[in-house]
Amino acid sequence: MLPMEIVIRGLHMERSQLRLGLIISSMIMVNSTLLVGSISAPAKFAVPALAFVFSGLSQYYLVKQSIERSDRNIRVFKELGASHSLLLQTMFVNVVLVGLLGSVAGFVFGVSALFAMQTTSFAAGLLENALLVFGALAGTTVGSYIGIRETLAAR
Amino acid sequence: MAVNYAVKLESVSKSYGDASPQRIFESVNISFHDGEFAALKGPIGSGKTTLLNIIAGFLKPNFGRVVVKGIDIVRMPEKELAVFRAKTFGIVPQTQNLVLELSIAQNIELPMIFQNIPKVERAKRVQEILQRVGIPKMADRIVGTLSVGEREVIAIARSTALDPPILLLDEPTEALDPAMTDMVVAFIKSDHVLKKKTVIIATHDERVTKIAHTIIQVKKRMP
Repeated sequence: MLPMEIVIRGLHMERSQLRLGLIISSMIMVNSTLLVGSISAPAKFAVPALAFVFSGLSQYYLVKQSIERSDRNIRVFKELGASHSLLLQTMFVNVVLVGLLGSVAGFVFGVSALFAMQTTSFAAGLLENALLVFGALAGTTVGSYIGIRETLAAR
Repeated sequence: MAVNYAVKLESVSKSYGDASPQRIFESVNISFHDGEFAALKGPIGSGKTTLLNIIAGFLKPNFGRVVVKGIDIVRMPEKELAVFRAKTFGIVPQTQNLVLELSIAQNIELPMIFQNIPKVERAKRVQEILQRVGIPKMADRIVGTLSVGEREVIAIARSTALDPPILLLDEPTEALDPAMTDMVVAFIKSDHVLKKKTVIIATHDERVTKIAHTIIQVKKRMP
């Protein structure tokens, strides 16, 4: 399977999460943009920092979803008679190694975009944040998907 | 002629909760012989799923013995039980237990991977199963993109992957349209007839109960 196909399939299944994540982060971004708009010019550098802090909440949500998905899969594996070592291996690769690292990679990608654009306008703020959440979501989804596939492919 | 029992419940009692326990069963004795097709009927909350979970060893009874293929599974260590369960039962729980991120073929392959069946043999069996449920060209479809009914069909197909002697199915036709129900009933029946499997199925569906040898009415206990 091509990597792009994996990404598309993964995201196809995550539409509801994507919508919710975007709504949460848009609300956060509106608040932080308005807050920054009301403070003095020298403090405007705080925009990226605020976005970074607040977006952590949506990031937390995405990671939580990733862990819940992993828990569900582990339960299925258990019911189907997977050995303890395979369960541990899957959990490690799925959540710890690829899922979380993928999510962090997406987060770093989003924050980098935020710093690179260096803007305080409301629309740009929303766009930056959408990029951030999209990056984190893609990282988490693709990470856990590849994690579980690769663990099994090795068998 | 001596009857061989696939499953035998002897004086099984089960209750939930410690402070004010809710009693589900008391001193239940049921047996299912090899090759029997039994339907469990009863209202919601009567304990059909609990009964299936006790037979599969997911739940321990408070008292009594659960003998499967001549072995009491109540006192079996968990690790041993997991292996025994995988080889003895094909299970379709009420809540679907598929991995949504994997394809149809990969989901059917899962129990075989866990039992260390070689890759070539796994691929052959997956193809056979897909042929039998009439979806050989859908092998690569990701399960998360399927409808609830289609997922149920895959769960039922997967329960036969290890060719287990006993199938435990919990309301397998509940989410299916009439055409899918007919296909699933035909699949279960052919597995039962051709391979002489024991089938224990919780259902309200008349199309399923009419092909059962035995119908067990599970009654809800009054508090």
